[in-house]
Amino acid sequence: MGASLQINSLGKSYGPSQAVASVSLDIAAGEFVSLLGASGSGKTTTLMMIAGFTPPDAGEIVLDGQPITHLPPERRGIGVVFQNYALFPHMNVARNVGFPLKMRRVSAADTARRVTEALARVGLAGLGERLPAQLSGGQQQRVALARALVYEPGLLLMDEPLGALDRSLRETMKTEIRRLHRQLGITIVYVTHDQEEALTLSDRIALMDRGRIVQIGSATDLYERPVNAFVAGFIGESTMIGGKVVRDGEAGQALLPAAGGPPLPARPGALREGDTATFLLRPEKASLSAADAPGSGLRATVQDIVYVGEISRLTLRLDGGPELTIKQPNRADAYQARIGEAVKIDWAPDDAVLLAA
Amino acid sequence: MSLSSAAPPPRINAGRSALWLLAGLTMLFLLAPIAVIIFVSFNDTTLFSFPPSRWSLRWYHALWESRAWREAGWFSLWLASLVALASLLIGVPAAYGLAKGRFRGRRLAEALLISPMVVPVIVLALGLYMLFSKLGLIGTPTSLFLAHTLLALPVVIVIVGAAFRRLDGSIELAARSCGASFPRAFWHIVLPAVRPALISAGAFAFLTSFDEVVLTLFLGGPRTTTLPKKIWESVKFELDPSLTAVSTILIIVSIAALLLVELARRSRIQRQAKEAP
Repeated sequence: MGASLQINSLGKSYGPSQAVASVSLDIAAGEFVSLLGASGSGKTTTLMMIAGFTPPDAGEIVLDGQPITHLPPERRGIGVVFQNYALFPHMNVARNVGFPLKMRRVSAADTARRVTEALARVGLAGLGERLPAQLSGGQQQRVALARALVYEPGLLLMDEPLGALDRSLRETMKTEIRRLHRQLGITIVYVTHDQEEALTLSDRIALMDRGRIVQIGSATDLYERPVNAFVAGFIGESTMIGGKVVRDGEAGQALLPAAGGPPLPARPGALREGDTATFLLRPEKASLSAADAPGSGLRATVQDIVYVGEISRLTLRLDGGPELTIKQPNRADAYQARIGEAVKIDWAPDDAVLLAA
Repeated sequence: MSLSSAAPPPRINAGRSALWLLAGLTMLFLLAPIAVIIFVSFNDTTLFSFPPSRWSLRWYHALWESRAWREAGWFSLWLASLVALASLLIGVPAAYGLAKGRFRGRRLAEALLISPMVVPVIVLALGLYMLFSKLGLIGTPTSLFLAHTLLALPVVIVIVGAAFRRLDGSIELAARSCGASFPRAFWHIVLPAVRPALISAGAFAFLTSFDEVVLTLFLGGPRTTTLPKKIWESVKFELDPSLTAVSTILIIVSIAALLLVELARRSRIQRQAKEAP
C-alpha cells in the first residue's frame, strides 16, 4: 500500500543561489502528485531531497509518520525511477530487477519468483536474460520501473521518466504508469516540465517556480482557477489583458483594459473595484457569431486565422481595444469567420478570471 | 563539360596509390625494428645476422638455462604485478574522488597526482635518488616498487578517471535507492560498470613498470635486476643474441597485455549475457 509523505519547509541552497526555498507538501497515501516546473524551478532538487541523495539545509521530511530527513537513501525504502533509466549496464534485466532484493538478502528462490512477477507486471516477461543495451528506450524504462517496484515500496519517485522517450512511446508509458498506480495503490511523486503529463497523470499538481510551490491543486484548479498570471501562463494557453477592475451589472465584475476598449466581464473574485488586475480568458471558452446575430457579446474584427486540424486559432481585435486569441472548433455547426470580417465574441463571465496584477 | 568530367578518375587513383605507399612505408618504418629483432632471435648463429641462415630456438634455450635471466624475469613479473595492484588500490579511489567529488583544491590535487606523468623521468629519477639515499632505500626492491608505483599511478588515474566521468552518476544513486549502502553500491555497481577501464589501467600500470629503465638504473642495485636493466647491462658487456630472444619475450608480454585490454572491452556483453541471475 501507499505511504503518506509530509514535507515541512524544506530548503536547499547552493552557495548564494537558493534551489529550494521553503517547500511544504502534504501527500496522502496512494496519491499521485506531480512537481511541475521549468528547469531550475527546484522540482528535481526537491525530489532528490525526498530520495535522500541531496541533504536539505532546512526543513523536515516525514514518511508514513517516520522522520526520514537524515536517513541515508538506502534506508528510506523509496523507489526511484530516473530520466535516463539508470540501469546497471553490466547486469542483465533479471539481475537489475533482483538487485534490491539481493540487497535485502531475500532468498534466491523468492527473488526469482518476485523478479518474474515484476517483469510480467511491466510487460517484459521472458526478457530477463537480456542486457540493458539490448533493449529499446521504452523497454529500459519498464525495467527501471520493475526494479523500483520489486520490493514494494510505499512511495515511488519519478524524475522526468518519459523525457528520453519519443512521443508515441510517451503516450503508451503514461497509460502504463496510470495503470500501475491504480493497481498497486502506491504513492507517486512525479517530476516533469511537461504540463500535459502532469495534467493527465496526477491527482494533484504542485507548480514550482524559483524554488517555491506557486500553486498546488487538481488539474482543474490550476487550469480553471490559477492563483496568478504565472500559473495561468504556464498551464495551457490564455489571453491575458491588464487593466482596472470595474463593476458590471448588479454583482458582476469586469476589467476595463488599460489599452482602451469595452469592459470585459469576468467571474467576481477577491479583487475590489479600482484594483489593477489581469484579465484571463482561455481560448476555448469564447464563442464567435456573426456581427448582426442577436444576443450579447463584444464586437471585434478577425485579424488572423490559423488552421490546426481539430480547431482553428483566431486572433481578434476588440473594437477600440486589445487583441484576444480564441479557438474555434472546425465543425459545420460552428461559425466560420474570415480574416478581416467583423464578428461578435461572447463568453460566460464565470469562465474569465481576474488575477491580482 | 564531358571532357573536364572525364579527367579526375586517374588522378584519384594516383593519389590513392601514393597514400598506400606512404602508409606502407610508415608501417615498415614502425615495425621494422621489431620484426628484425624477432627474426634474429630465431637465428642459429652467434652473430647478429639478418635474415637468419638457419632457424633455431637456441637463444631461448640459453635464456632459460641462465639463472640470471630467469631471476630477472621473475623479478620483473613480480614487481610489475605488485605495482599494478598498488596503483589500482590507490588510483581507483583517487580517480573516483577526483571525478565525482566537489571539494576545494580538487584541481590542484588532480594536477599533483598526474604530475609524475608530465615531469621528465630523469628529473623524477634524480629527485627520488636524493630522497631514497636519505632513507637508505637505494638498491632495495622497495625503492623500485615505490618509484614504479609513482609512475603508474597517473596512468591509472587518467584511465579510470575518464571512465568514472563518463559513467552515468544516476546508476550509483539508483543502487543506493535500491537499498545498497555506499560501499556496496561502489562494489556491486560502480566498479563492475567500469571494469574494462580497470583492466586497461591495470595492464598499462603493469607495462609501465615492466618496461621501465631510467628509474630502475638510478635507484636499483644488484638485488633489483629487472629484465630491461639486464638487457641494458648485457648490451654493454656481452652482446649476444639472447638479447633478441629476451626482447621478443618483452614484446610478446606487451602484446598480451594489450590483447587482454581489447578482450576485456569486447567480451563484456557476450559474457554478461550468459550469466544467469
